[in-house]
Amino acid sequence: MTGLVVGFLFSSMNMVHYQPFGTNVSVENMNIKARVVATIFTVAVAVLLARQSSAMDYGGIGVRPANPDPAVPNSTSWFLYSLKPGEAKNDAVEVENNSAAAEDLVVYAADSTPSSDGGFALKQQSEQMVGVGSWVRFYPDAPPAPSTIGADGITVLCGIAPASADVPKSAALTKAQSDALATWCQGKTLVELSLKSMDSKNVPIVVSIPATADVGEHSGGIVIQKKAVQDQTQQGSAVILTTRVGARIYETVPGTILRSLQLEQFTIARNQKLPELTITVGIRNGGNVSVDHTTTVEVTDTLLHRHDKKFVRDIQALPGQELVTNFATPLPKFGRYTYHAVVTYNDGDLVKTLSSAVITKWFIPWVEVGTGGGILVILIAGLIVLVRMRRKKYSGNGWVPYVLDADTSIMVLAERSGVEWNTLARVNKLKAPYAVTKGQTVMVPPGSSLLQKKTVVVKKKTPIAKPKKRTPAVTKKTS
Amino acid sequence: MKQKYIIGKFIRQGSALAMIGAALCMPYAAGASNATTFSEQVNGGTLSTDIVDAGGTTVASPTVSFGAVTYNFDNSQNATGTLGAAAQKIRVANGRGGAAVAWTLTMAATGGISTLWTGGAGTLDFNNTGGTGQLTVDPSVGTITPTNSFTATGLTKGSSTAFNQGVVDSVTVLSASTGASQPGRWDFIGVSLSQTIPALTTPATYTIGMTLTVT
Repeated sequence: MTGLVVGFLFSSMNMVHYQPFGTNVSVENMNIKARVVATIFTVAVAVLLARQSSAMDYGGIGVRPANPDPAVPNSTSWFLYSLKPGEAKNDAVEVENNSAAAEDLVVYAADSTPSSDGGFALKQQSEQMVGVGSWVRFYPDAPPAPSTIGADGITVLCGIAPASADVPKSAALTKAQSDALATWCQGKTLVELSLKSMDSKNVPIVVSIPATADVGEHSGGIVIQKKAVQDQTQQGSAVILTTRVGARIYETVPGTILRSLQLEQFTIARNQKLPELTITVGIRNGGNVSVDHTTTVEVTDTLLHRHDKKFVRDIQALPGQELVTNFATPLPKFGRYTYHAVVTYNDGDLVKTLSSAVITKWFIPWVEVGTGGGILVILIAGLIVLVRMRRKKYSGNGWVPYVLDADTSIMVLAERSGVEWNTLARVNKLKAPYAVTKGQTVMVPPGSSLLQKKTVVVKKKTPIAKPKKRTPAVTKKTS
Repeated sequence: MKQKYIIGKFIRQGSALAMIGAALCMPYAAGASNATTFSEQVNGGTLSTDIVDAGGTTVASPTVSFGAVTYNFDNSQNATGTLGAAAQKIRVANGRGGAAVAWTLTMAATGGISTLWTGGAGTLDFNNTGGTGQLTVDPSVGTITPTNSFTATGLTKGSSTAFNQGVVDSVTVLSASTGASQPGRWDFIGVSLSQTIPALTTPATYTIGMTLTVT
């Protein structure tokens, strides 16, 4: 079903067909051909539309002003009035059923009520209307005969507004007719409609402004919702949902109009469940009319010296309310960012600007930093352990001095000492070509087979660097 | 007289022939451009909202189920649910034509601010700050999915808000600025709902009506 109301109206269809020169074509024949082509085309379009309709899976009910003024912006969506106290206006609301099935609908007017974040909401049907919702009356039926709605509308017929000279007065009616008209003129606060699929109906309304209405904006709306009570059986505790649609009414009583916005809130916070950052801008409308304004938030990456993002939103702040606007942006991975909000709006010919303080935020990926840091610590610790092991290995601690009794090679010496030749060389700080000669003192492991032939007495632990100087007493055991 | 009739007849025949000739010539004249003019009008639609399933079909009886909690003598608890799931998506369709117009999707108790959760003999507040029950709605954790080729530009998810009688009687779920797509259509899922269940709450299955309004 189509959710978008799409009406294809072929308002004109001038089909002219090319015929080869010299071909005999009668007008009648051409008309037949044109008709055939037009018919085929129409059928094709109808089939196409039918396919589109079935492909569009959305069907809904809608409401809008029946008499929009092309010169007034937004009047196709909202009822916009500037009536004086005591004044009344004839209008009509168009109710649409764009769903695939027939719907029983209820239509009523409701006062506006503030919603969180400064949103526009409408009171529920069950609540008492004291504002705009009580100023609207519906006239879905024709007036009782012989009365008719003239060019001046219901307001004149019912004496809600002064009658013009050419309007027949109700004095011409009998008492019964007059009473019936008086009852009809009271209008209805709630209308029940049955609309077929893809059907619509205009319901005349009268908006009457009380004589005591204050200067400034008063808002409300005309609401439609499905009449049928849905089968709302469910398992366990639950919220039972109903949907409805409203067309806003903005009535601005002329007088001293005050437009005044204040920037009251500007915060940056992490979303609790999503990897997002929520930028919140709160604007209070201290005036007596709604104010359209533009909120701009600039995000700058100060490390890279670039504008990271710019959010711009045109939105309306309702009088006396704080409008909260949230901007969601992906959480930066790393960096230092600044946030700055600017609000601009028109007050008459003046363009007013509100500027927030600049908020600076650092973003550090602590999990990644922690993980990387942990790995680094482990690597450093391993390195330290490795270095210590190597130092220990080549320190020669516990080794004993041995005085060579003959020239030999380091390979032989290492083999007889039971260690690698390079270990022996490093402990004894021997350089290439690693020559070891008779009488030279070298440090060897205590279990070395060399020591089985000689007894080496060490009175003092001898540093490796200067083995000769630190071997004050060596007793050789002659074999 | 007869002569005049003959002349008139000739004139009439001549006119008829001229018309036929003109009609026959039209195709040739038009043949140079082969012009075929069609005119069609796509009317703007309306704003609407509904709860739809995964296939986009309207759900007849949409509900949001809450997780069960066990009777507690001493402490309050939280029962949670999610408004907008794959099988029950909140869908907003703005089929209006012309310049973009802002809209707001709000949620409020169907029965008004004095309504209660009801279950058997028990009742429960949804908008009380004194510990007898309060419903918190958090649209900020929800996910907007534009349909077709529309974008989520210009849409704002509402802040986490608890109903508070006389102070917060309606919660903004989603709003669109004039920068949003028009026409446009979006699905919204994952709105977190959390209801405080006071200690000593009578065991029962509680329900409450909530209305989503788009204006």
